[in-house]
Amino acid sequence: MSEDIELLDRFLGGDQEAFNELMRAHEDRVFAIALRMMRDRDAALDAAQETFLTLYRKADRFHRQSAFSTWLYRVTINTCYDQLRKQKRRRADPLPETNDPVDPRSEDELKGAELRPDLAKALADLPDDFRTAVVLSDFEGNSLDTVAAILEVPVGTVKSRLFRGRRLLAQKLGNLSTTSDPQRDEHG
Amino acid sequence: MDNYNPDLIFDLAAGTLPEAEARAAEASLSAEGRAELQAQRAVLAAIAAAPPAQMTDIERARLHRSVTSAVAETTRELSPVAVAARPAPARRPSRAGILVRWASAATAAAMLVGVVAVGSQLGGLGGSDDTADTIAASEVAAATSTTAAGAGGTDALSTAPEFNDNLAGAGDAATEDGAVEDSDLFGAADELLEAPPLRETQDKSDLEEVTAWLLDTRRETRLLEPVDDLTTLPCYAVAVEDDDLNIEDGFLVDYFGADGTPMQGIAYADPGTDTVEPLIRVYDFLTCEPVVASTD
Repeated sequence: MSEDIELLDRFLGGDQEAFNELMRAHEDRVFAIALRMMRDRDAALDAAQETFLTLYRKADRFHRQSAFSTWLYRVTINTCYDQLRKQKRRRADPLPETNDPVDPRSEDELKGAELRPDLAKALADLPDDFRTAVVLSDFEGNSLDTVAAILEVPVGTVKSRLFRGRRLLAQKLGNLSTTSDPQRDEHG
Repeated sequence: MDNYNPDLIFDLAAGTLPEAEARAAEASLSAEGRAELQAQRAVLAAIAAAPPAQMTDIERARLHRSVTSAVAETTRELSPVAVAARPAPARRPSRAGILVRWASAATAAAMLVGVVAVGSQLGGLGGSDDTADTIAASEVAAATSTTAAGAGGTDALSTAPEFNDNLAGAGDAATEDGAVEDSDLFGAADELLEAPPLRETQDKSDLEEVTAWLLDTRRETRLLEPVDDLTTLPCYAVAVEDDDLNIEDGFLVDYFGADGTPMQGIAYADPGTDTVEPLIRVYDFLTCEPVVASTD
């Protein structure tokens, strides 16, 4: 039994600390995915928060037909989609205002941790399906099989989305003519 | 036609082919194929050079604190543990029912509109759950006619309550603030009708239950009529463009023009998701204007 499943079972059995351990085990990946999807750090934190609340509320809906992380990252992606939709409908309850001290990491350090602006913009401009595939595979290093499982699509579809997503990125970054075979760049 | 094989380009860019095979394949590429391969490799290199997306210590602390706080609020009611321990109630007595009311509103053309608005946790406004299942259809009709007769020229796009756990708070605040549009929406309690309460999670089944209730009211009031083929309706394309609305159901809705003339609109229903609350939005049939929108 994997450690995740063990923790999940403990949580479902009423062990609150097991939930905390699950969160700690996955929070970095969840945040990373959310940040690449949402682009904004606060929005990524909101999405991460919502993801773990969904885990808390609906852990019993994980049917164990895939790895726990696959399910959790699917929740993360769906949460990001929802948050993006919701941005127009209404603001999600933001993380509570805090009196946190200034982040000890300097602004330069935080900026250094950000994507190149042109790459960040190009990524943000990708159609959701393409961006999701690129984030999960190229940024987060998941295998094609894992991405396919997270997105619940065939591996061939993942490859197609990656190919076309990278192609659009290349065009936006000026690495490829936008005139070559444009019909392949249509979403869907 | 492709001048190259995308699968081959993909594999070459990923470096998954045996070296000799990759060399031969690359040598066989057309100029366009080579350009594509270069572009894909350049993108992968740019991504590989990107710094990792890491939380700062402060961000991590904020995340822990916010999740812990939210969990603490919902532990008793929402955890799988608590749910399992409950005697499987279909409805939670602690939650007041969803209130459904037919509010009225006017567009810039000052039309009056029947509004479907559903929410939960309206304690203090909507009465107890015990009454939720026993609302007489005649009350619906009465409330509808009351609303239609008494509506004023409020801003049609002002607000209609969503399926929203915070609706009670919104209503209370509106009352305290004395806002005109809100007081219209949350006014007399006798205009508020209870639908089946949402369960502990808001999901599609909740909307289906509420929809069924709405359809029951239709039998008496003929206020709502389900539409089989939404795509044939003139406002469908407009509604689809509203990208915050994920349409899965539609109903014809009767409402009243400024001169009292019965008119029809269409209410599109978004069942929501794990984190987006369900929503019904009404569009005017003639102008395709959203005569009742969500609370933005």
